[in-house]
Amino acid sequence: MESLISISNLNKSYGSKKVLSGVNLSLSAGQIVGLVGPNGAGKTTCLQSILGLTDFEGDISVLGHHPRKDRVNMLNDVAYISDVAILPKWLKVSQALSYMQDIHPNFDLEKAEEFLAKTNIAHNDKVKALSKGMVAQLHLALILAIDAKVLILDEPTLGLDILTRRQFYTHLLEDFYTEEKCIVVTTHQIEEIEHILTDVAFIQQGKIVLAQSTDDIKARFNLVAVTSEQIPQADELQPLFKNSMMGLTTMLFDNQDKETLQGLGKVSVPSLADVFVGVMNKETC
Amino acid sequence: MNTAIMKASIKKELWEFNGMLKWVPITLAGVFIFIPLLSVLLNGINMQAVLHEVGHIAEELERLTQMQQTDRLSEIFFVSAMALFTPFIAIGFIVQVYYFITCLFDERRDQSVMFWRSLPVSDGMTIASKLLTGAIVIPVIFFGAATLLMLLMLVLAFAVSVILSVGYDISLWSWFANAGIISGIGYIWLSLVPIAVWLLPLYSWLMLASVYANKAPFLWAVLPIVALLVIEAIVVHYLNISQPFFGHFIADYFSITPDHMAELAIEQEKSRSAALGILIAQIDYRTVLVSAGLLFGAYWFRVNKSEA
Repeated sequence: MESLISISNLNKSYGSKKVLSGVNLSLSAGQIVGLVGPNGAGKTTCLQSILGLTDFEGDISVLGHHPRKDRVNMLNDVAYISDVAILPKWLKVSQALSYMQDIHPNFDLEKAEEFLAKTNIAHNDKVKALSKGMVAQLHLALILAIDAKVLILDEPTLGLDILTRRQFYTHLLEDFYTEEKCIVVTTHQIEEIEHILTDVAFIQQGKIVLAQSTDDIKARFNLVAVTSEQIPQADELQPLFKNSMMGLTTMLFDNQDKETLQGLGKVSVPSLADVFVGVMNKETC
Repeated sequence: MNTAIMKASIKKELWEFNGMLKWVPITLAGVFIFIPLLSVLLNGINMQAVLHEVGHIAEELERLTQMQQTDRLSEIFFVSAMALFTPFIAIGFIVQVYYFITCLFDERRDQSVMFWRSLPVSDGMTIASKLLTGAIVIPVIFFGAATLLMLLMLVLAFAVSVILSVGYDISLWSWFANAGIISGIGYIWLSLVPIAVWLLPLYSWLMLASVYANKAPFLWAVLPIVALLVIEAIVVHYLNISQPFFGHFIADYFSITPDHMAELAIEQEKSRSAALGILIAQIDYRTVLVSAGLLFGAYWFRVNKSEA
């Protein structure tokens, strides 16, 4: 597959504080990658480096462009949503559409208007008069109307209610995503988007601790509901994560033989949230 | 430089400051129109006294015309036009200062800078469009408002002249013919670019404060200069240096002294070309060097200052 974003040995420090440390990632067309990590893990800095919004050490290539040296040309094919609050309050919807059409070579006004027609947003509305959800919809309309090859979303649904969040990702899949495009998304609500992700990269303290396709992760990790008498045996297999609740203990195992695990209890496929908690737990132990 | 993107960027600036750029000149023009009207309504009008005064002015103007003193007539018009333009230029300058202080600060305060910087518009283009908006477009709006008011007054003057000519046999037509109305207004408009170039170091400094400050950009614009002048004054006082460098530099560059004006006016004999000459004389190598340095600083901070 064609690599759209290639990150090699990315490092970034703020003063003496190291924020990113030796990050390596390669993202290809067709991938929807979740960049997941706890607060302060370096997700936003990583995305800002990809977008050329901050300086960095290492090599990044986005669609063949250097994000710092060739930012404007790169942004013709890269779209970005930071969070719902960044559209200026004084901006009118009609002005946003007009400005995008004037400055963006790949902006499709009809597509944006088509999307907005499905919402309650009027052309004369100002951003300050819109609810958080409507601002997100407007921002999405502007971004979806760009025929971008790479879409970068940094906590795009932060502060939105669950209905708007689901609507947001539905539109993303239906109106934007194709096999030729790549989407990178960071979110805290990984359980809400895990069904749309093709790949996941877990980041902790500036380092990528796991980067794999969701299919491989599901094959690699197993969640076992261990009976109380099997706990000592299960402990010997060094679970990544152990949770006891109401007399039932669940354990997450990495790369363990499935038949052995079945002997300990009921084996199921863990959610990405389970794997995330397990991997983060392992890294901090 | 892509002119379509520049136009779109300037349009965006005008949208952002739409309220201020629309209502301040309209209010100012309204003051000029309604205060005289209000005065007439409250105090009444003594038609006899007005006619006497107008007749006297008409005679004086006629005398100047007969003496071939057309230059004097155009000077009178120019000075009157300047009197009308000056409040617009002064208020426009305050608006410009406000614009420059907030133009790069507000977008960081509301975090919309992340949206603007996610679009394919270079930082150089953004700085240039904001500079052009503040230094040229805003003065054009205020000059335009003053010109429209001037034209309105000229239309009124024309109507009054018709009435005086037909009803009272007082002729002001020779004044209209010799006042040099278009060239007078033209001279004022010509000063727009020299003013912008002369004040470029100030505008650049305000933009630098706007892009650098995380809070209170006005204080960032004022306090460093004040601190520098105070420290320099102390150093000069204790080291017995002949004169402060920065203090002298700033005072010399931005002050147009009466001596300077008189010198140029005598040289050029006409106040309208003298005004233009004074402005152009203020522009020198310092304008280019200081502005270039400060603008590069504003650009550098725009590119490198992290907004995360």
